[in-house]
Amino acid sequence: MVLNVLLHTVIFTGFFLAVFWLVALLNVKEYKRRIENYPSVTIIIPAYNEEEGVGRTIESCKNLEYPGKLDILVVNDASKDRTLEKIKKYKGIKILDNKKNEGKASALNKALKEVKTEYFAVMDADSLVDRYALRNAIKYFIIKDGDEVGSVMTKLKPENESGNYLERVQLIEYMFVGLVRYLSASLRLLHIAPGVMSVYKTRVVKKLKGFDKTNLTEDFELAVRLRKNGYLINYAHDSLGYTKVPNNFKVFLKQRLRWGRGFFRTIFKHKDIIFNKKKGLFGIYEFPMNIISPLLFFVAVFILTINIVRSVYEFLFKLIVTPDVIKWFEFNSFREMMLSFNSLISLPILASLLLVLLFIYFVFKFYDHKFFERDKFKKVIALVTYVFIYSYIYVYLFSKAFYMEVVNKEYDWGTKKR
Amino acid sequence: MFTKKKVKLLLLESLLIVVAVYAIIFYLTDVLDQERFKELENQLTVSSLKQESRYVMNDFFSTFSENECELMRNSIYEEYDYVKDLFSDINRYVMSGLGRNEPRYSVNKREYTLNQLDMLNMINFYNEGCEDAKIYPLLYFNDGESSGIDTQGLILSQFYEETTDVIVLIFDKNYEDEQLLVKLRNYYNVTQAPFIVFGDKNTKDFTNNDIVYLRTLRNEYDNMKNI
Repeated sequence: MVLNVLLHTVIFTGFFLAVFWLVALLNVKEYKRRIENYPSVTIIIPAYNEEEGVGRTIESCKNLEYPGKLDILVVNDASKDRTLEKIKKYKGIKILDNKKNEGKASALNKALKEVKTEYFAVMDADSLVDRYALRNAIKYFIIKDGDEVGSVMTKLKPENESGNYLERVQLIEYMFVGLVRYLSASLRLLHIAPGVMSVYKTRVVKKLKGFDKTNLTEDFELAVRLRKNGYLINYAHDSLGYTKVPNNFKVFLKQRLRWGRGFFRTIFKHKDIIFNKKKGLFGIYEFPMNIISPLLFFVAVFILTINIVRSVYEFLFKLIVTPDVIKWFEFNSFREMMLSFNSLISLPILASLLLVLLFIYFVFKFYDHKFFERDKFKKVIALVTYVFIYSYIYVYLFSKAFYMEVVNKEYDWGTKKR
Repeated sequence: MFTKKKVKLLLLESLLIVVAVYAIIFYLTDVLDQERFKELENQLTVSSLKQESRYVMNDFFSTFSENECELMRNSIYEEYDYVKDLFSDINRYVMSGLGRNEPRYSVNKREYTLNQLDMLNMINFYNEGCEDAKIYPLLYFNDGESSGIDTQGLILSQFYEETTDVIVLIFDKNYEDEQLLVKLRNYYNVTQAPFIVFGDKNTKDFTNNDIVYLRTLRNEYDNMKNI
């Protein structure tokens, strides 16, 4: 009985969300944003043991076509390798050299004190940006109604599109997440601004006292705090940032575990927002969905797994123990099949699946309509992996992250490897 | 970025679409439910006709000779062919439709239960007169939801396929509306599901687990045939 109610709740909610996202997708319209005088911007690059990538990141920033004043500030957070040496090779950038490693959030806060420009952008020291990324992103601070945008995130792409299997799966993931974030921003629901490159209003972030030093995902925490204080986050879909994704499973798990723990730490810290009517749609829908969505997802994966295991067991049992009762088609007639059809469960699931397929189509259209022209087979395999197997990894990582945050296990940063 | 008003409108629009789709689904389910009732009633009507024919035959032959035994046996099997899937049909239709509490399902279930009890009665009566060609009834108490019932069901289906003189009669372990069934359950001390009674033994005599395996049933069947 309980399982049945749970099942119908999951199906109804899943169907509603599928409809909602698709309705939003079909309604979304971009409008022209014009800027007469581009504001001044500082790009902050926090670097810790980034001797391999920091040079490319600085070059990428120096190549930006930005009509306004642009400063680049690199923070060397007491790197043990040749990061500082590499940074010093570049002229026209400011350098902050920390003598003691204090972590990314502290490095950013230190840099923030030096920022005198109207806006600042945070960029990971292993990321790259498109030539027009900043110019395009800054336009997204302009919106039609009276609310204020506190931050703008860029569209993210893995740097190596034709990497190994794991990289291809992550590429698919970035594509899905990209469209979801674009829609979230359109619906005023976005509450994340990743470190690959996000732009912030300096005044706003200083007012909110900068980044949280205790959080593993300081970018997510700040984004939630921005939303909590009434600021919106926008998504610049024509502004591109490139990131290196892990190419081995161990590093991938470690990265995602850190994200998971940061996610829960932020949720626990800001639990007062959950179902808080004073926070509007953010409090009653968007923030609680952070918890409800994974829970629904867990239940869906659980029910799906039970059914798969049961079907496989039943099939093997028939094959080995009771071969005389095997029926390759369970029903004697179409009428019998229709009469056994559980329309209350099957029809919403079928409708949701159709909407998901439509959504997948839009994902590729949004990201790159020529996506499958190269390495078609490999990309299809990656897509299948993402749709059918990734959910189990997600469930595992989220459960582990939740457990580790609850027992307050210390995070081991380890050494950086890709 | 949509305005706040537009976001609320989109939410409302989505909700309306979902409600409209669900209304259609409920309508279709109701249509299917009506067909399900018709199907069950048809099956039960045919089964009742077969039962009537058996009664007449029973009255006609006061004692059984070899030929009458064969006729009677065929009659029992014909009727059984009609009802053997009815239990799973009723359960499946209740689960699939809106009619979990629909009174017509309980009427159907009661008819089915009475039918099975009558058949058990008939088999016992037949066995007294036709000792050379006995039918071995196997009583299977099922509750539709316990973990072992799928496996036990498959085992019994296989066992039925393998034998020519076993009839599996399926009863709902939790059904309370028919006093005769309650008495039968008490008689065999049925406390769990799946639970089977075969010959003078039951699940508890066969195994410490919930499921009686095929090998055990085959052995018991051979023993019964050799007596």
